Amino acid sequence: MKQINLSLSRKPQIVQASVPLINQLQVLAVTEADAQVMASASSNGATVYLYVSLSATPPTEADMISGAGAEWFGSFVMSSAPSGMSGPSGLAPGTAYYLYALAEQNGEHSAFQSVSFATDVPDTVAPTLSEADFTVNDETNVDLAVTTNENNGDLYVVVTTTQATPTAAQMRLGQDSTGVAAGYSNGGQAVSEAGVQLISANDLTQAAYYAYFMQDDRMGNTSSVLEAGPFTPSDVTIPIVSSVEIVTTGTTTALLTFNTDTDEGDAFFIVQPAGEAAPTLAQIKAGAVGTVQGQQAVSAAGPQSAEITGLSEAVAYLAYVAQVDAAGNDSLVVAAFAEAITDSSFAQSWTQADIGIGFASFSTAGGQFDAEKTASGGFGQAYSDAFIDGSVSELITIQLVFGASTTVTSFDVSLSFTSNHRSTTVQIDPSGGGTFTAEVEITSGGGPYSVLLGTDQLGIVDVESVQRIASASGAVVFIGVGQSLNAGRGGTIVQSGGSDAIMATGGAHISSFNFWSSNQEHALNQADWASTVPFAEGGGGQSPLAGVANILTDYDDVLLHSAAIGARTLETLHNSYHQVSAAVERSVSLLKGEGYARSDISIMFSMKHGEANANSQTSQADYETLLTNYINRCRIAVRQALRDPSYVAKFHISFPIKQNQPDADRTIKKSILAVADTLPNVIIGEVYSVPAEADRVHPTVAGYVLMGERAAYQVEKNIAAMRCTSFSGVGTGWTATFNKPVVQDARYNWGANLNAAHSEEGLEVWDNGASAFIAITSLTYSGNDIAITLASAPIGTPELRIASQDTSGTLVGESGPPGDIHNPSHTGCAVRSTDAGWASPFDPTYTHYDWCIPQIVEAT
Amino acid sequence: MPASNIPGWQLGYRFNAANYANSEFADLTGNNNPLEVLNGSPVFETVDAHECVKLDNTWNARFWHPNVWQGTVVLVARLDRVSGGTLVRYPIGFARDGSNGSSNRLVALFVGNDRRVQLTSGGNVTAGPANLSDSVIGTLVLCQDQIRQNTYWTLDGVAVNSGTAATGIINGNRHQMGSNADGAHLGALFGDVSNTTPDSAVNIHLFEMHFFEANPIEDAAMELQEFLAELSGKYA
Repeated sequence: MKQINLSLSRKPQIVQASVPLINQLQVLAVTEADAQVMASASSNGATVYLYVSLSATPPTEADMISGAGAEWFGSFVMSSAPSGMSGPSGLAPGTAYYLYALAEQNGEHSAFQSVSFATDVPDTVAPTLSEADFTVNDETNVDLAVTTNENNGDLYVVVTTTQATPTAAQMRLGQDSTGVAAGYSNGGQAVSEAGVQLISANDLTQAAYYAYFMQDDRMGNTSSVLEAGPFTPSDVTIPIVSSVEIVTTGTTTALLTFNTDTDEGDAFFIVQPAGEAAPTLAQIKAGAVGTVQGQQAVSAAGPQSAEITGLSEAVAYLAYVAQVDAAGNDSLVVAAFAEAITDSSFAQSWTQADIGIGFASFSTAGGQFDAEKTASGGFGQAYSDAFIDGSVSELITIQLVFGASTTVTSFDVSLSFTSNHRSTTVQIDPSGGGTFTAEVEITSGGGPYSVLLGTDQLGIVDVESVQRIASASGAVVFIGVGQSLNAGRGGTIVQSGGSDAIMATGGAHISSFNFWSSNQEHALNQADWASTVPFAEGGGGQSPLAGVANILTDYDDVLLHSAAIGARTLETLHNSYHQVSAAVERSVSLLKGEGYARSDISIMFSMKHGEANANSQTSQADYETLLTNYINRCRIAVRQALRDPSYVAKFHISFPIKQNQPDADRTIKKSILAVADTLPNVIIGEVYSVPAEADRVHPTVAGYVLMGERAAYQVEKNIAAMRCTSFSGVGTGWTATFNKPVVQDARYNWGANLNAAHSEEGLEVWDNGASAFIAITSLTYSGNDIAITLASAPIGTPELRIASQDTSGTLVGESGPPGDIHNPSHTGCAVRSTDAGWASPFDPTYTHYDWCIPQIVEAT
Repeated sequence: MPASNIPGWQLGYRFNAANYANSEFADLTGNNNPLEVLNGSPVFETVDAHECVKLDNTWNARFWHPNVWQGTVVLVARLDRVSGGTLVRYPIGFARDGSNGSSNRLVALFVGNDRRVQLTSGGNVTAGPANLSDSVIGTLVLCQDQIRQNTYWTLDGVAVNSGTAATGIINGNRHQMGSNADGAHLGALFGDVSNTTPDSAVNIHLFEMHFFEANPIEDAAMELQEFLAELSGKYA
C-alpha cells in the first residue's frame, strides 16, 4: 500500500463570510481498489462533497452534489476542522482518478478543489515460503518455523503423521491430505512481518510427524505447501552430571561421587591414570578404556556414588563420568582427579634369593601382588612398578635403580635395558604359581649396587672384579662437604686431577670464591658458575678432589666441587646448607649445558666431619640426628636437581683424624658409625693411614690427594668398611672378630704401646671395672679373628678400642724418623683386610689398603 | 588436571583424614616425603563442606622442604580473623625453627583487614604478601626464583605480582629455600612449637599444600592457571 500525501497550499482568499471554503484535500493512502481521503471545510456545518471521476474536467455543481456520473461519491458535514470521512472504494486497480471536493453552506458553494491519484496495480504473485524447520522440545511439543517473503495474509500450518502434502484448502480446514483433521493445526495465523514465522505445535504424541506450511496473502494468492520433517516429539533434554569427585579410600580403592539432575538411565564411568588421553563418550559408555570401568542405573536424581577398586598405589588417576538418560540423551563428560596413594609396603615382601658376582635374584612370596602398580613420580619423571597376580602375561613394568641411574622400561615377561653405563638384564620368572623372581645381571660396570623397586631396596648386586670403574660413561658430580679436610691444604699444587675432570669457572672450592680465608658461610649466586673449566687446584692448595679425579677417570666428565667449611659444626653447616644445594643445582645445570641428560648424571658426596662437634661436646644422639638430617638434606638437593625422587646419592663419610679429646671424639665416631649403619648407601671410610702432619689433625698435602682417592674408590665401588663385629672372651683370652679376613699391616707398628703395653697394632683393651687399660701380651691373626691375650683378666666388662689413640699426647718413639717402628707420620690401626690393595694413581709407590676403621667394641 | 601435569611437582599434602595415618600426612607425589606429626594430633574439621585441618598450637608437624634451591608453594587455606586485636606473625605453612623471626618460612600475617600469606627465603627475601579474602577458602601461590633472582606471587596464576629483581652479585642464599636441620615445622601459631596455647583470635584452616620446583608461575603459566582454577572450583 502506498501513501500519498498531497496538500494544497493557497494564499488566504478574501470572501464573504457566508461562502464556505475547502481548506484541505488529501489522498492519504491508495491500494488496488481503495483510497483514504482527508478533507475539511472552513466552517462547521458546511457540507463537503467528494466526487471521484475518471475525467480531468470537474463535474457540474449539480452532479457534484448529486453524485451523478461519479466513480465514487460521498459527503459529510463539517463538525470540526479538519475533518474527514471514509475514502473511495470499489475503484478499478491500476487506474488514474481525480478527486473533486466542494463545500456548500446556506446555499453558498465553494470553488472546486481537486487532486489526482492512481490505484495500485493488482498483486497476483503468490507468496513464497522457505526454510521450514522444526525443533523438538519434549514428548508433546515441537517448535516449527518457516520463512515468509510477504508481510500479510495468513499462514496455515498442519502437522500430520503421514507424509502426504495436503491441499491448500485442506490446510485452511486443518486437515491432512485425506481430509482428516491433522494432529495439529494452527487455524491460520496472521502474518504482519516478512521473515521467520514461529509456530508452537502442542498436544502431539511420540510419533513421527510431518509439518506442512501454506500462506494466503491478502490478495488471495496462495503459496505452495512446504514440508518439514519427519520429527518425533521426545525427551531431548541433556542430563547434567556435576560435582564429580574421586577420593582415594585405600591404596587401591577410591570412592567416586557425582550428582545427576535426572532419575533415569545409566551412569557410566571409567578411571584411568592421569596423563592418558581423555576418553571419548563412546569409549566411556563402552567401557573400552581405563583401569576401571563401570555402569550403574540412576534411579533418583541427586548424589550418586560408586566404589572403585583395582587401582594401583602411587598413581594419580582421573575419573570420567557421563550419563545417558532413558531417552538416550548423553550428558557431557565430567572428569575429576584423584591423587596418588603411596604404599611402600608392596616391595618389602621381596627377598633376596641369591646373589653372586654380577648376578642377583629377588623373589616374592606367592600372590603378593594383586593389582597392577604404577606410579607417577615427582620431578616430572614417571616411574612404574607393576605386578599382576598369577600371571605375567600382562604388561609388567618395573623400575630398577642401580645406584646412580634410573631407567624406566616396559616389558612383558623379560626386560633388557641399559641403564646409563651399566647394562643389565632383568627377567620375571612366572614359575612357582604366583611367585615372581626378578633376576638382575650386571654385564659391565662396578658394584655393588642397590637394587630398588620404587624407593624400596630389594637388595644389592655386585660385580666386584676391577679396582677402577670399567666402563663408566656419563658424568659424575662429586661434592665434598664437611670441614677443612675436604678443602685445599698447603700452598703447593702437587698434581692435577684426571683429564676429564672439570670444575665450575671460578674454582672447585668455596675458598676459591674468597670464602675460605674468612670461613664465610654463604655461597655466591649461581651466576658465578657460568661455565666449566678443566679442573685444577687453585692457589688454596691441594684437596681430596684431586684424588677423586684420579679415580673416576672412566666417566666422560667429573665435575668436582667442595662446599666444606673449616671448623664448623653440623649446626652451622645446616644453616649454610644452601651451599650444597647451590653446588648440586649448578653442577647439574652446567652438565646439562654440556649435553648431558639428568639421567646421565651421577652425584656423590664425600663428607669429612666431626672435630668441630667433638670440640663442642655434642652428644652421640644429637650428632646422629644432625648427621642423619644433613645427609637427607643433601640427598633432597640431589633429587631436586636430578628430577628423580627415587635417587639416593651415595655418601662417603670419613672418621675425624683429630683425637685430642678422646672421649668426645669417640662419641662422634660412634655416631658416624651408627648413622652409616642406618642409612642406605652410606659408605664409611677412614683417613688414618695417609701421611699426616705433625699436628695429627691434617694429612700432608699429598695425603689430601690420597684421601680423595680412597674416598672416591670406596664410594664408587661401595666398599664396606673393614670393621670389628664382636669382642668376646673370658679371663685373659679374648677374640676380636672382623667382617673380613684380617692381617697385620707390618708397616705400621706402634711398638711398645700407646696407652698400654703391646698395643702394637693400635688395639687396646679397656677395663671398665678398673677404669684402666689392660696390657696385651700377644696378638694372633687367623681368618677373620684376632686372638688377644691379656696380661690380666678384666675386673669388669672390657671393651676393645681400635685406633683410638690420643693424638694430643706424646707417643713413644715419636721423636724417631718416619718409618720408625711407631710410624709417627701415620695415626690409625695397623689391622687391615687381606685385600691385596691397589696402587695410588697419584703415587704408585703408595698402596691403598682396606684398613680397619676406628671403633670401640664392647665385650659380648 | 592433576598437579603432576605441572612440571616439577615435588611435594603435595592434602590435609584430611583420608591422607593421614600413623601420625603422617602422605606425600601425594609418591616421593615419600610425609608430613610427620611430632606433637599432639591434627584437628580435622569440615569447613565449607571440605575437610581440613585447623592449625593451632595443640599439634605440630615436620617435613623435609623440597625447595632447597628455589621453588614454589601452592596453598589452599582459609584464614578467619575471629576477633580484633594485635595479630602479628603466625606461621601457617612452615617455619625454619619455629621462631617468628626466622627465615625459610611460610607465614600468615593478620594486618588490618588483610589476611596475608608470605614466603620468606633463607636469605630473608619475602615473596608476597598474597592476600586471601576473609573467611573463604582461597588459593595462593608464592615463588622464590633463583634464576630470575626475584619473587613471584599470585592467587590465580593470571594476576601475577613480582618483587624487585636483584642486580649485581647477590648472595646465593638470597632465594634459597629449605628448612633447618630439623626440617620444616608446620603448625606453630605462636611461632613456638613448644607453645601449646590455643589461639582464639584467628582460625587458620589448611586444605592442601603443594611444592613445585622452580617457577611455574612464569614457566608453566597455563598449567598452573588451570590447576588453580580447578582447585578453586573444587573448594568453591
